[in-house]
Amino acid sequence: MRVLRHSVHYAALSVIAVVTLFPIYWMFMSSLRAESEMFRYTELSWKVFLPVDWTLANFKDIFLDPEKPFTRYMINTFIMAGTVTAAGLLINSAAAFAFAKLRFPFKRLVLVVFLSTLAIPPEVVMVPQYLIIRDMHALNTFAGLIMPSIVWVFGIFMLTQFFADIPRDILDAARIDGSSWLRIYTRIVLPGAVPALITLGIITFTHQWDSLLWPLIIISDDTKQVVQAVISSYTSDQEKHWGKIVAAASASSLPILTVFLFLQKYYVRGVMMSGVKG
Amino acid sequence: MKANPRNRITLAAILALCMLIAGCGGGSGGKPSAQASAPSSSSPASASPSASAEPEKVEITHWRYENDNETKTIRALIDSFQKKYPHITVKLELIPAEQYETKIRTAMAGQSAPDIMAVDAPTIASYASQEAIIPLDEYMNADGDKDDILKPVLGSITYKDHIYAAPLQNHSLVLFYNKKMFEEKGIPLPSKNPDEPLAWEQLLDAAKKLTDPAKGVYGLNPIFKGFTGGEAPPYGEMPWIWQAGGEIISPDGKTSRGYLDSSESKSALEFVRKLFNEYKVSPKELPQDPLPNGKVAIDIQSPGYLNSLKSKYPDFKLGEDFDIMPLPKNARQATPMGSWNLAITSQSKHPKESWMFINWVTGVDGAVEWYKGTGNLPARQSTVDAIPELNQYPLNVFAGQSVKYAHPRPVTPAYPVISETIRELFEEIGIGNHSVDEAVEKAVKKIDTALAQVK
Repeated sequence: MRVLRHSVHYAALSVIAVVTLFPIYWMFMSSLRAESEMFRYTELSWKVFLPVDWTLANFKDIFLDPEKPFTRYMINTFIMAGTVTAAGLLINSAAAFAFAKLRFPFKRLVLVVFLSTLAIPPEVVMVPQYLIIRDMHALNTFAGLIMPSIVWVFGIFMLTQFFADIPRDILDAARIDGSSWLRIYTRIVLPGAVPALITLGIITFTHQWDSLLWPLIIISDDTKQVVQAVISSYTSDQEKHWGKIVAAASASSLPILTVFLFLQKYYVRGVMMSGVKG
Repeated sequence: MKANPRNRITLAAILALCMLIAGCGGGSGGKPSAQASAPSSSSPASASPSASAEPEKVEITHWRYENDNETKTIRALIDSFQKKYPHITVKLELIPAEQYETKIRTAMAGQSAPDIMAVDAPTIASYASQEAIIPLDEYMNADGDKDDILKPVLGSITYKDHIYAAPLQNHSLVLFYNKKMFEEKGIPLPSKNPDEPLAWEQLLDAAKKLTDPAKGVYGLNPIFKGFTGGEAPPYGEMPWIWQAGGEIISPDGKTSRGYLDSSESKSALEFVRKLFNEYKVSPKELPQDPLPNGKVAIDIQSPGYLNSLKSKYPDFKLGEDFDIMPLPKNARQATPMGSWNLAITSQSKHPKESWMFINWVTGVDGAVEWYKGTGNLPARQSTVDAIPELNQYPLNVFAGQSVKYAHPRPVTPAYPVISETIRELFEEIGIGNHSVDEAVEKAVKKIDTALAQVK
C-alpha cells in the first residue's frame, strides 16, 4: 500500500518535473542547432529532441559580435542586478525591521500606504519616474537604472512577515542590557534571518536580471544596455534571429540557474518560514 | 511576445500620460526656439559648409529601430555626411523594434525626444495630429525633390495637406510559391509579370490541389506572418478587401459605415473565411518559415524575405525551389505599401541641420545608397530608374506592383485602432469561423467610435 502510494507520488512528480524542465532542455538544444534546422523537424523522431548537426555558431554570433559583444551585457546586468540586490537587502530589511518591531506614530497607516503601492501597475508610474530620473540628470546611467529598483515593497512585506515571528522578549532583553536598536538589528535580527534574506536576494536578483522595460526606456547608449533588452533587439521589424535569441536566452539563464541551484535549500526554507502564520 | 496584452497596456498608459503631461511635446513646451517648425526665410540649401567661416558645432540625435542591414547603411551615410559637414555630429541610437513606439512616446512625454525619428507611415497621422513632429513642406519644396517620390508613398506621408516625413523606402507583398510542389501536382507555373496576377478563383484552385492533409501541407497562407500581433497581419489583410473593390474607411476619414461593411468588403472576408474553414487550404497556426520547410506551398511575403531565405536557407533556391508571383486580383489589383520614414520632432532645437541629414539619406543620391545597403524597395522613381535589377525578376514584381497598384492604408490618427480592429476581424472569421456579418458589424462600430474621437 505504502509502495503504491509512493510510486503514484513519484510518477506525478516526474510528470511535473518533465513539464517544467522540457522548455529549458528545448532552449538549450535549439541553441546548438543551425537556424535552418530549428523548425524543420515536426514529425516525432530523435531529430526533434537532439540537434542533427551540432553547432556553436549561434553562441559565436552573439559573443563574438564586435559591435554588440554579449559578454559586456552580461557584465552590465551583473552590476545592475548585483547592486540592486545588495542595496535592496540592506534597505528593505531595515525598513521591514522597523515595521515589524519598532513602535512609532502612524506605523500601521504608513505600512498600509506602502503596501497599497503593490496594487499600482509599474507601467503607470513609469513616465513620472522617467521625468524624475531625467530631472536628476541620471538618464542613460547605471545610477538611473539602479536607484528606482532598490526599495521594493514586496521585499519589505516579505521580511516584515518574517521578522514578525521574532519574539519581542529577546529584543526587550537586549534593550535592557543596553543594546541600541541598530545593534539589535545587526547582531540579533539579521543573523537569524539569513534564509529569508537569501530567498529575497534570489527573488530580487532574478527579478532584476529579467528587467526589460525600464532599462530599455532610460538607457540609450548601446554599451550600457542589459541582456533582456539586447535579446529583444534580436527581433527586427522584418525577422527574428531565432538562433541568436535561443543562444542568448540560454547563456543568460545560466547564472540564474546556477545561483538557484546552490541556494535552493535556503530558498525553500525561507519561503516556508516567511509564510503568513496565525 | 506576440500580441502581448501587457505591451498594449503599457502603450495605452504611456499614451494617456503623454497627453496629460506634455501634450507629447506640443505647443506648451517651455522652449520657443524648439518650435521653429518651418525654416525661416533663409533657404536650407544655402547652409553649405563654406557659407560661413566657422559654423557652430551642432549635435543631432537620430533614433531608429534595430535592423542589421539598415543600421550598417545608416552608419555609412552618417560617416559620409559628417565628412561633408564637419560641424554637424549625428548621434545614432538604436531601439529594439518591438519597444520602439513605447520608448519614443515616453521620451516625448519627458521632453527628451531625439531630433530625428524613424516613423512608420500609418503612425504619421497620430504624431502629426499631436504636433509631435513638424511639417516639412518648405524643406521638401526647396530641395527635397518631392516630385520624384512615388505618388502612393507621398500620399502616405501627407496628413491634412502637409508632408510630415521623408520616405526611406517602400514596401510591398507578393506570393512566394514552392515551385517543386507546383510541378508535382501538374499546376501550370504562374506568370512572373506584375501585371498578370492569378485571379482569386485560380489561386483557390491551385491551393486546393496543393493541400495535402496527410503530409500536413497547406496550399496557401493568406495572412502575412500568420495570425500574430503587430502591424504585419493587418498590413497583408487589407489588400484582400481592396482587391474585392472594398475600402476600410470613407475617403474623408469620418466613417467605415458603407465601406468596411459594403458587399465587396464582405465578399473578401467571406472568401478568407472559407479558405480557413471550408476549403481548409490555409493553416490557422502558421509554422515558422513554412515555405522552405515545406509546410505551405504559397506564402504571402515581403521583399526582405528573399534575403532572409538566402541567408537562412541557402539550399532553398530562387528559380529552382521557389519563385514569386504578384498578389492575386479579384475586382481589381491592389497591393499594400508604405514603410519607414524620417521625421523631425517638434522638440528638436536644430530642425535645419536635421533636415540636411534627412535629405542626405532620403534624397536622390542617398536613396540609391540606401537601396544598395538595405535592399528595401525604393520610394523614389529615380532610384527605380537607376538600379537595373529593380526592373528585372524577381524585384520587378515588387517594384512593378508598388508603382502601379499600391493602395495606402487609411490615413487618420485613429489608425492604431483600425489596425487592431482589422487584425481581430480576420482572427474572428479565420480562426473563429464567426459569421462575417456579425464580425463586420462589431468592427465597424469599434472603428467608428475611434474615428468620432478624432478632432
